[in-house]
Amino acid sequence: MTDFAAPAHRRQTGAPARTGRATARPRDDWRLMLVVAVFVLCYGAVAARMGTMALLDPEEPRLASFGGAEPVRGEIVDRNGALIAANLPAWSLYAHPAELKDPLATSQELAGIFPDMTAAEIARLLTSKNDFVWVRRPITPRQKAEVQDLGRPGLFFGARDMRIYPAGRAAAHIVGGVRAQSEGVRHAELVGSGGIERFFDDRLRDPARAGQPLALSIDLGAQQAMREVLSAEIARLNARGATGIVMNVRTGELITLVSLPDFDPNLRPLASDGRGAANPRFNRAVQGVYELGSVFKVLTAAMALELGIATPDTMIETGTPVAIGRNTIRDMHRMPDTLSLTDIVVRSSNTGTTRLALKIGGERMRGFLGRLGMFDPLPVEISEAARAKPLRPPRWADISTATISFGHGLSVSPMHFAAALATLANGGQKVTPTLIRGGNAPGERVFSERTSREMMAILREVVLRGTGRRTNIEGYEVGGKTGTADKPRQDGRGYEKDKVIATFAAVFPTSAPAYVMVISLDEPEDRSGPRPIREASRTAVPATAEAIRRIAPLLGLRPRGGRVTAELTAIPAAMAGN
Amino acid sequence: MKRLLAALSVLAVVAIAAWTYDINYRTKNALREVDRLRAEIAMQHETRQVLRVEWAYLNRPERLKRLVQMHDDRLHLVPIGPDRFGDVASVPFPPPPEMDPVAAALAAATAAGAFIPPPVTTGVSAAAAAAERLDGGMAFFPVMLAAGAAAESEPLAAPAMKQASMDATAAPAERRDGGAGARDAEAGAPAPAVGMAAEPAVAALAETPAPDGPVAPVPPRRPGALP
Repeated sequence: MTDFAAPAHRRQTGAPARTGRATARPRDDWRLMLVVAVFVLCYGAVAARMGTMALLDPEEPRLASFGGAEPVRGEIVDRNGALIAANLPAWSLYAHPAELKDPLATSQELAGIFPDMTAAEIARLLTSKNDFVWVRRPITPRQKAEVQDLGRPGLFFGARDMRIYPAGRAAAHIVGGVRAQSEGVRHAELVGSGGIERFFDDRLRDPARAGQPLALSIDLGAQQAMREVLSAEIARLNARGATGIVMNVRTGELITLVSLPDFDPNLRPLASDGRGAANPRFNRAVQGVYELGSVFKVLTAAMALELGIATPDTMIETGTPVAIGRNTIRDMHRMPDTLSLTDIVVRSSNTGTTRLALKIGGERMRGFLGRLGMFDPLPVEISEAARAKPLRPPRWADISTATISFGHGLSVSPMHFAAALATLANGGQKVTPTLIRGGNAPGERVFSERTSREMMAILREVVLRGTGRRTNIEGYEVGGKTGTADKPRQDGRGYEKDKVIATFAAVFPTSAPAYVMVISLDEPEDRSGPRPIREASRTAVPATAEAIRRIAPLLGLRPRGGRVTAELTAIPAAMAGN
Repeated sequence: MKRLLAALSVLAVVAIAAWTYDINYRTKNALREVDRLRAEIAMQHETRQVLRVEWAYLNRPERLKRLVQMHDDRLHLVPIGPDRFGDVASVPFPPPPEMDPVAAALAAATAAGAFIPPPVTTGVSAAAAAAERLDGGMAFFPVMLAAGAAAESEPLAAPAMKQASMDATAAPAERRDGGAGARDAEAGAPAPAVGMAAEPAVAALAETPAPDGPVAPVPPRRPGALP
């Protein structure tokens, strides 16, 4: 062990003595020791690593991943977590015709498994010149097992996810649908092709967020109740369609959004199944723009109150027609000479509203309607909404101001009006409708709190002694306004004589507005009496009354001061008997 | 001394080699087990997903409404209204079904280790049970789905491709409800008396018309499609 002395020794002997044995030996020793040290280090490292691995808690060497590698489209649930859209594992059957031994016999056997395909149809597929043909997609596990049991060569299965809408028709127009894109053997990518599936396509396809469901503001129970009520009304009134919207006044959350006729989203009709409103895919609540008629008087009255033009008790002339240019605006029924602003809304006077509108003026009216969002497509999260732009007069003349004041000349969707009414009910702060749970924060102030309070009182009067009497449900303080608008003729020349859109826009409870409900019926006709009745007061109003009776309790609204004859607290008798 | 040291070193090397060999194989086995478990977890996830969706589908408001109407004579349920107010969440689940004394005795005996052969009359033929097992006992949802659709809509005159494909699943679907019945009956089989568990199955049976009896192991074939 002299190597440690070597450097000193070298220093003493000087640089030239390289060849001598005495100097060579310490150098070799030094090398040897270096090699030993390297080996010791290497083995030591291995030993240390093994030691730590043996002593430490075992951990999984690979990253855990569940449920296969393919990204799965996110689920959609309602506000209570009930599934509206989900994925299911499924299979597709495909074939390599070149590898088939006996295509004809195989097609015979496959036809037995898939009763809707004929043997000839399958034989044509299996004998085609292609290397690859889809035979059937999607197929069920049972069918897959049956095909496997055939033991025929050349038949293969491709795994894929299927989009399923367990809620069925209830949420048809909201969810829209998906279609398969870039379909491969391993998987097919599903792409939203309508409704919320399309609007939130990126969010739903994002693998990082596939685990969190998209929670809608819709309440499936309420949605179904609304569907039932409207279906019954359509049958009773022989209407072409109906729409029913319930919106939370504070947050703009849509609790129900029903458009009838609807469809089963699992069997979504094709775009070619009808044009416009004739296609069941047409969403009347969002895509249908209509002149909604007298419900607009609510907005006109609110503007007049807001601008200080009138108070609820101001008397306004209603006895005589109003002439604007070549046009004359009259009332449908004989009115007293003067009516208060409240009574103009309650008795739905066109002349009174027109006189208010002329005082407001076109400029200010446009300003209000613009701030209420009446000129823009709805920002609601359905892909169709962006394409449904309200129809406004190309040139805003005095006559436009006059007719729009009572709901003609400006076509908006029922949802537009629901949002405007919610804004009015929400203390005047703008409400933006949304389909996402949680809702939106209130926006800019359009009306003052005072206007809001006064209008709620006026709407309550309409229900207490006006056209909305049938919705006076004890305990819910319903307020609202009817609107019966003649439908424009298809050829664009004037209006139909006996086809109307009947609308009722309701707020409840008026003392502390919580929900807005807008129900609109397309061409309702009550033929039970001697003459057909189309007025909203006999069509949309009873429908709204029934809908509020069904839906308000579902939303947890306890009737105030109402008589509750049966309270659900314990086990129901029928159940207890089991 | 040196030899002893050498011998000990050789022994140590042999021992360590054996230990490493053993660990190596145990690790490989463990990895294989992890893969197997992972596949099983994936499958369980898939099953769970299918069951979740099926549960949601069976609980869709439309169907519940139909069931309530169908059993109106027993349930007498009316919608909640302003004068009949309540919170749905306050409704308790029904109490667990009381067990039949014979079934309880049998269960107790089985628990104590006695072998009791299952009763012969299960109401389900072995063939039917086997047919049910084809899909691994996994209830498949689209089948149910199409059953509802088929029961409600008229036969399609000129079916589009898409509708036709969905409709095809409808045919086995009509058996599916029967199948659910079979499974439930099976579950209740060890106990001679079928308790609460079988009741939903009865409802399901009544709900969709099953043209070929409650349990049909043979898939319905298009007449003339096969000799």
